[in-house]
Amino acid sequence: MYNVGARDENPNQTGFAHLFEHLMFGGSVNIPSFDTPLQLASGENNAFTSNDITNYYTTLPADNIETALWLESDRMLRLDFSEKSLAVQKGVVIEEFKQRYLNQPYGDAWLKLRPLAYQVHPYQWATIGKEISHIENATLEDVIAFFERFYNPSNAVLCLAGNITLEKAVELTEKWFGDIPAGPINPNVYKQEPLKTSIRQESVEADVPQNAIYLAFNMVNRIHKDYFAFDLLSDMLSGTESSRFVEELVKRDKLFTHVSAYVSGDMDEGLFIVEGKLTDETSFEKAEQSVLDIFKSILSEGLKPHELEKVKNKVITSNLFAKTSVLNKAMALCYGFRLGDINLINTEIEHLKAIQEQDIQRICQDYLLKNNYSKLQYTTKK
Amino acid sequence: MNRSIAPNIQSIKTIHTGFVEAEQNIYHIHSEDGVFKLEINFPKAGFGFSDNKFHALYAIDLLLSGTAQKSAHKIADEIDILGGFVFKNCDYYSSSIAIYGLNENFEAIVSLVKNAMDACNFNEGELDVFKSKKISELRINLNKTNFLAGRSINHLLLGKQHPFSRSSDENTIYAIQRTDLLKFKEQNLVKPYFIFTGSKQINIQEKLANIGFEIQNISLTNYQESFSNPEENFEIIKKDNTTQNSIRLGKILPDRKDDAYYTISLTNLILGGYFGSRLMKNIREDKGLTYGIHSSITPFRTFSLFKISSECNNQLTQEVKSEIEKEIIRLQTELVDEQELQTAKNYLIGALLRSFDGAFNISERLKTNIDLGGEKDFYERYFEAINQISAEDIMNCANNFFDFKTFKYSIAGEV
Repeated sequence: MYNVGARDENPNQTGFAHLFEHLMFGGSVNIPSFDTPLQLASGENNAFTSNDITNYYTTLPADNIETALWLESDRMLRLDFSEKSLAVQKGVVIEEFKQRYLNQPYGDAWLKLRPLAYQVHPYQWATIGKEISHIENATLEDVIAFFERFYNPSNAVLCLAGNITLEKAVELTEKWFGDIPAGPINPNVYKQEPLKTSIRQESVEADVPQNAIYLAFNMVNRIHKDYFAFDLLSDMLSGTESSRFVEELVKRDKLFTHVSAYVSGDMDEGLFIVEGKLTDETSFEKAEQSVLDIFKSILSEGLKPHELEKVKNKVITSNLFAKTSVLNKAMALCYGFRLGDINLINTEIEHLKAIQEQDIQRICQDYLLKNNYSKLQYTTKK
Repeated sequence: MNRSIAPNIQSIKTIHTGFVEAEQNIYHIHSEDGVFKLEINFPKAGFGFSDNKFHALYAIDLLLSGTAQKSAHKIADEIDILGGFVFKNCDYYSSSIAIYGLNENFEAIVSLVKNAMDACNFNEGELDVFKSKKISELRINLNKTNFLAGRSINHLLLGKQHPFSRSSDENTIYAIQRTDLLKFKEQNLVKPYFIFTGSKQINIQEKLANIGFEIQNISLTNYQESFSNPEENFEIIKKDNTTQNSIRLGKILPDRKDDAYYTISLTNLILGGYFGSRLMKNIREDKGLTYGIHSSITPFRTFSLFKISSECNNQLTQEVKSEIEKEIIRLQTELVDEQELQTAKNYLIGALLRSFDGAFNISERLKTNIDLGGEKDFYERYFEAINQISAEDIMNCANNFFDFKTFKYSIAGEV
């Protein structure tokens, strides 16, 4: 997992971290193809880029672990930069941009929502980038500079999970990565978003079948203790069949056909998002008010019996299930390391259990009822 | 250290599925993770063999939607308090209710679910809300080129009335009545078998009997499958203001019992079944025309569906199509080189191994295998057969089964 994401990009060259992720499969200085030797070793791999990090992961038979270390260390040492690979991957990423963001109803919601929610912090653009031209304009020179700045051991964390001893893991890691120069450290310094003082909004008319609303509330960062309160609140609102949104807004009042709440989970101050598709009879004002009314009622009347206990118990179950996968454990360990708390995988449940009704009420009061959120409305083209 | 030399690799010598035998109608896969999964499978309730596939789909989805005594909300609330999860799934050959939770809550959660299923009365209010949701989803899907092309290729291959390809419209959704769902439940949601993944300390036979399930031998239904082969070979669906076109090609191929199936499956992999496939290498990694292009084989009991799918640049759709044809012709006329063949075999076997990694993966494979007819040693034979396939076999297979002229196709977008 590399300490580089979309937040590290130049505002005029957005989408670069993700484009770079694609180039990481184009061959390295000593190995012409990344994928073929791995497939020959019965392995498979993939990667993803977020606003904060870029994660490369490989699963293969335990006996063949060295193949993965050989491949990963060589591309950390030096990529085989080529004009051809850059040109092809620009084309691929532009098609990805269209497939995921433009050619889907509501697909561009996050492209519009981010610049509303953030005016200063680099979270104002999505990992795919602000616009296609930023990808088209990337040069090989930019690519090499990006590699040298971020792709080195100082910015990487490696996790080997599965049937291997610590001694063997250390030995093999030193063998393959030991001679790679440490390189510069990403200082992770970003412009912080000032507190909003009013509601920011945008309305778009689009070729979509139903009106839709997105409300984005600026919230705490990933290591703040209130993060878990936001996480549990989102589950209480829409994470289960018995949740408030389903029960009150969909079934009882029939204001939405679908409405959900979730947290962005970013490392820096993130977003608490509510998104919903409105029934034909519902106005935007009514839809928005109904969500705010739920926050207000939590503040004034408190939670319902078992409401917090339910979501805690569900998280405990799903957390245990997640840990039956070695890959999940490896990713959680790397992410914990990046957050500065490698033990988070073991303590997360305790943090969640510690959240009380007052914490949920406090975040409603301090973050969700301040009239300082961002609002995006989609209106169907008549 | 010479970094250009690859470390030695070990090939996979055997495959162990971890499948278990049923004791009456219960399969018990051991897992000591503190959590359990109980899958209640109804072999007569797949949507493939219902009079109306939507009755099957809706009945399964609404199975916990309330009883005379308890609302849907109350049922969900009680399951949630116990930290339980319930997933409802209506497949082609069977339907299932999968219950997840902590070991200590097994009886409480499963009893709750059973009572709610048994007494479910499909009340009108819940059905109406569900219909609105389905209509909303349908309207969104009708705006997506990938949905339109995917629906169309199924129609071309199996006929519009075949349950696998039959699609819903708003009238079909409005027409569904609670009495249809009650009838479906009474006739089809009967005689389940169970796949339990959980601690060996749990005496599952005894627990399920105590909860009130019937523990009995059951036999799987033998279905007579048929499909029309429509005369149309292609369909173009015009949709303005799209930034990409969706293209689908497909053909009916033999099922898993046919000796040719193993080679078909490896030929498909080499063509478009993984990241290192020819279609991905040519059309994505060499030409950058698409974010993804894939081919796949979906097995049924008496046939399988071969499909190629891609979302690609509007202006270059014909180019993508002709590159697909070129790749097929290459497979038919040139022998696959040894390195490429070995890579594909090792990858396929690695993927097979991963699909049996851990008790919960094993339980999913077991269910699929039962749905497809329950041959016990299919995967062992598959493993052996893949290792034996030669470059000549691939070429013969490409000529026998993958002739481009026999493919049907659909394109949706600005065409």
